Amino acid sequence: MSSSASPTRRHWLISGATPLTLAMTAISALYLISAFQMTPPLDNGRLTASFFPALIGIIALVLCVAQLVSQHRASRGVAADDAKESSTTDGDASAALFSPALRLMLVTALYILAFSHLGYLLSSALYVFVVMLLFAGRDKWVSKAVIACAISALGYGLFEQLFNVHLPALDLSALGLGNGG
Amino acid sequence: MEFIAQVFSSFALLLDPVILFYVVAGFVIGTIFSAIPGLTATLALALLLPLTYSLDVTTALMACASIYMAGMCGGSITATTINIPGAPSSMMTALEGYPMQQRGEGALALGHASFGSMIGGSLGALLLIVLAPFIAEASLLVKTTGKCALIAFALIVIVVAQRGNIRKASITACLGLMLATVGLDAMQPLARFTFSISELTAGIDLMPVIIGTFAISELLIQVGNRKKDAAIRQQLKASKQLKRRDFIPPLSAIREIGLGCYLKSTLIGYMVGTLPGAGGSMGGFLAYVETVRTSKKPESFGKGNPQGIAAAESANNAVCGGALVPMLTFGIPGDPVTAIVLGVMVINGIQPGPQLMASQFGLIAPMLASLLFSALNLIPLTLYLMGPYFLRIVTIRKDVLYGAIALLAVVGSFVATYSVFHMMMTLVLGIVAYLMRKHDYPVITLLLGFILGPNLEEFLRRALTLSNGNPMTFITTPDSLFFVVLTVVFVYFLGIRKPVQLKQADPKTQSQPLKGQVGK
Repeated sequence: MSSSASPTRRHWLISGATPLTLAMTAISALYLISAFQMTPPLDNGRLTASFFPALIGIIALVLCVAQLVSQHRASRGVAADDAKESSTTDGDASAALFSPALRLMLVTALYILAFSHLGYLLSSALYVFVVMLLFAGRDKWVSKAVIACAISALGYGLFEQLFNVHLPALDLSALGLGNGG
Repeated sequence: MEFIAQVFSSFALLLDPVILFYVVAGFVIGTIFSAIPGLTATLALALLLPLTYSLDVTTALMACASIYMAGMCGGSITATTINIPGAPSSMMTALEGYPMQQRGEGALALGHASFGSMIGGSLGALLLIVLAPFIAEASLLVKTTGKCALIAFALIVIVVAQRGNIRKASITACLGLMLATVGLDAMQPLARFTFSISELTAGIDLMPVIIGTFAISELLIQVGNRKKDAAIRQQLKASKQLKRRDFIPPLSAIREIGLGCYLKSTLIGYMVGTLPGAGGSMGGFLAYVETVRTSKKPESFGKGNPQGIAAAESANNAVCGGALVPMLTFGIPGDPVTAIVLGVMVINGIQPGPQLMASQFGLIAPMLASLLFSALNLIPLTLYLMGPYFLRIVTIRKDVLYGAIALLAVVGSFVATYSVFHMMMTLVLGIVAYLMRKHDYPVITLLLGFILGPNLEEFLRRALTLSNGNPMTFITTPDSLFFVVLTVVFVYFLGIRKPVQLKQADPKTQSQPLKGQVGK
């Protein structure tokens, strides 16, 4: 009994939309707790700053729990194919670790972190180049590098020259090349 | 009358080359973005949003209006040529346009689509110009309790319009409302949910939410669609070349479609546009169904009947005029595009609502003039001048396109506050929106929850304070009761009653465009 129940629970918890729904349930619960910790929703019959958040938090939590129950029920319906799907899910999960979307997330995070240190031009040219590689593979990388530089230069013209947005320049001290002062 | 005169005198602004450049450029960008499967006019507007910081507000709003209009008709290009609607609003156009393309009449189908869009867009804009002042005046009758019920009505209708996903839509709407509560409370000097992060004290800016939700999440979805992109490029390259002389529909064909079809579809589109959450696809669908229902030859639909194209395109462009009514008069956006237009206004210190139409209509009039100008002139001109090159334009290299979009999106989020924190927040919100879209959580309700949240909270607290905490005030106040009853009616028709089913002779042509919805 237990051996057959175990994979069903695992499948339900780790596959499909369940992790996302679980995360949203946790966020709703944390939000609700924070709302109640802030101040009581009613103070001498007067509505306070935590009234609306408490209301929304309760509604969100109820909806998330209902969604979890619904997903759990739906997963029971496919219990017969469980073992097969479980192994597929494992494969999908490991593949998702290196998915192009995940790589793009990491590259964008790195770009944002480097933006103010490397300056707009250098960081943007590198970022656009890597994004192009993610979208079209590594072939013709030289032409991609040239296009990436051109796009960054156009972006510079658009933001800095046309719209007067002050973009960060290369910070040599951050690279250990300046006087550090 | 004063407002109508102001709108027509605003046409003079289009003689300014700078303004005309932004309006035309906005239209062309909107057409290209809506024609390419995977991109939308919403994305074009989201990318434009940071630039509005540097643009004059009138110019920015006029450019937004032309992008909006272009977004509704540009989708018909790929809907007709490769049976994949570039935008959801052109889904019904594919049903008739693609069979016409298969028998060598693709250019004519695009001509009919463009003519229908021109009629629908122009009449929709005129209806907006004529009716908006009266609706704004009527909206002054809605008081605090009624305003709360109205905002709740809008949010609930947008949620129930996500049929089949209502619970998920409700969850994302709640998430949007939660995000809106971050920062200083509007009525009490108390910082909420800032977790000691000073950047959050002023609340979450609209820019990261819009760019994250529509641009970053789209990039993350599209990066996994490389094979699909290659297939679409192959299909486009294999399509027959369009010739300029074939774009103009003969007068006999227009007469056969009938003025009644154009007018009825326009009216349907306009009415649908005024409803929150409905949008161009719903407008086009209902007008198409009505045309099939009242046609003497219903069996000819689905096989390349230009009347179906005219109905769908007139309706979806008329939606533009209708959708701006609740946004301008009540400050309630009904779809992502009007939500972003609202964002442009808010960024520039303009608060939409009844007061705006009463005291600041000089700011709104040019936008409506641009909407009418785009429908009347830019739709036919763009088709005639750019039509033969459409197929070449939409086969633009995706790596170049997405590289530029990624740069504009991330740097654009920096523009508002010069803050790396906001750039990171854009990425985080983009990842959240991506995960939601991957699991069928609608993100439009997140955005509208975020936008409507502050007003909903303010009016709810005020209404309950005025009634000493008695929630029955929402039933006993006439304006509020009106919206409560309206909410119940809409929940019944949109959420409970069985939806309208489209009966088609050929199931193949019906299913293909629906499959082609890439990341919309």
